[in-house]
Amino acid sequence: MTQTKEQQAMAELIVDILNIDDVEPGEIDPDAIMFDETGLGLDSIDALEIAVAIAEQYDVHISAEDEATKEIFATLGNLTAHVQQEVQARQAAS
Amino acid sequence: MNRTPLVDRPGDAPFALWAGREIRVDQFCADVYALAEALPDGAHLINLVSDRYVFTVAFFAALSRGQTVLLPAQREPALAAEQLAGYGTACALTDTHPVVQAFAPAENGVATSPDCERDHTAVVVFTSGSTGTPQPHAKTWGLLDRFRRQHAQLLDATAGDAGGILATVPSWHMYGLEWAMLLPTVAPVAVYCGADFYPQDVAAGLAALPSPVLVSTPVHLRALRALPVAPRNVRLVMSATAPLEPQAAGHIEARYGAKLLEIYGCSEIGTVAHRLTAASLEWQFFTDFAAVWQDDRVTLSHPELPQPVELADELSPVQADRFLLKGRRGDIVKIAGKRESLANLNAQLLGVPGVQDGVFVQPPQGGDRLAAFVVAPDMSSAQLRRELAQRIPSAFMPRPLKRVASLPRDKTGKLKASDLQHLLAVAESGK
Repeated sequence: MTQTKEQQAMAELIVDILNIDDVEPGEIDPDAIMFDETGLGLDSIDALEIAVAIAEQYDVHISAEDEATKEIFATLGNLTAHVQQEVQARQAAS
Repeated sequence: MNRTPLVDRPGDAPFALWAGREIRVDQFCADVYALAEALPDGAHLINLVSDRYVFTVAFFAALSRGQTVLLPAQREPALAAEQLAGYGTACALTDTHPVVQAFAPAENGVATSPDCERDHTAVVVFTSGSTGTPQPHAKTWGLLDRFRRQHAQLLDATAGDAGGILATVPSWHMYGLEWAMLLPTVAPVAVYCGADFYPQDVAAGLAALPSPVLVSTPVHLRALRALPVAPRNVRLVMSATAPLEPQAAGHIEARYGAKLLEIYGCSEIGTVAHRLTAASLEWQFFTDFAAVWQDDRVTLSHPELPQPVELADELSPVQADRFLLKGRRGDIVKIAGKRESLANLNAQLLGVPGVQDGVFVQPPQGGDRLAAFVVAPDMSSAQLRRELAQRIPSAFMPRPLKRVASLPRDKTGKLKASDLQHLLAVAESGK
């Protein structure tokens, strides 16, 4: 499945921040499970690094709401959508 | 018979902050008694509970019943089962276990603390040994008791008016076990039991505690820099799992307006030494330890250890009880608090069918991950990662994983460290 522009930007952020050299940002399937060996094989430290990078780049702060956070981080698509939603909500409120 | 109390604090003192609810010491005791009643019989309890408070209640409930807590290196029940095959009757307490699901905190407290025999094997901690087979390290209640009191003394001397603990490390890892789970049972601090991983949550948790101690790691302390405003009320910052540079220590102290206390230890023993890094790079052993030095190696004895233990790192003695950390012995790498042998990692990599050659390289500045160079022309990177993920712990998965045509081995087949660092530098500059 091809990436949207926003998904591509998020993929680039992930690849850059996690120093993943063997996968091109454009290759990450937006629906693949990121924390699986079938996907990117990320672990919890990666989740932390991604959360920090997203805070710095988008000023969106992820916190652990248990099930909700797992869903957000499940796929590139979910993560991008969540960040976009937060950014738009902030813009609407300002 | 030599039974000593599991909790040694006034009954009305705050023990934990759990889901916004303050739980007193006597209520914690009541919870421990109640859960102990509900636990099935069996010599061992595999504590896989993810909630910090319930994990703690279960741990002490097991001790009060004379059970031994098993803490496997793998938290997934299926993988844990493999490691624990030899342990006879064991109840695996997972989040879906009926006892955990039914847990409800007590309204009324119980004045008397549950207790446990000092000689009883309280917990067995498993580390992944250099051969890959998990190694068990048994600790008696007497040892845990002695350690927690030494830690409480250190806390009292360093930050005597601290009132809370927020740990970004889990209570089932030795560091968290000692400083987030055991410490509040003797020191006048309440432990935060809630979301404590993402920076936003850590900030909220710290704000909810009185004069908290932040029990953390270099990885997490770096992540917390993302907070636009540093938490204001931190009384003491603690760090462990990897040593901090003095410059980083200075920044942390300035940012939080609090001292940075580093501790050093290993799962085989527990915490063994400490330092106030901004003041001095020298580590000091806790007073109960007797150190016998041989060149860069030290063997530690302790009244509660069944036999002396040799430490895995290279240390250089400054005095009998003070030392500087030189680093890992050449082969051992430490990531996310876990130790692995580079030789073993390389062997695992070379064992992947389709890998013609490969090597792990540790970046010179330390960093959080290992890099790897791999010659595997017929494999996709995804395949390679999948195969590797089945053979090595996830913390050691390489970043980056660079595909190369060949490795710069010399005529004897050796790879020189300088050649590898050069490869790494070239790879980094090419980004």
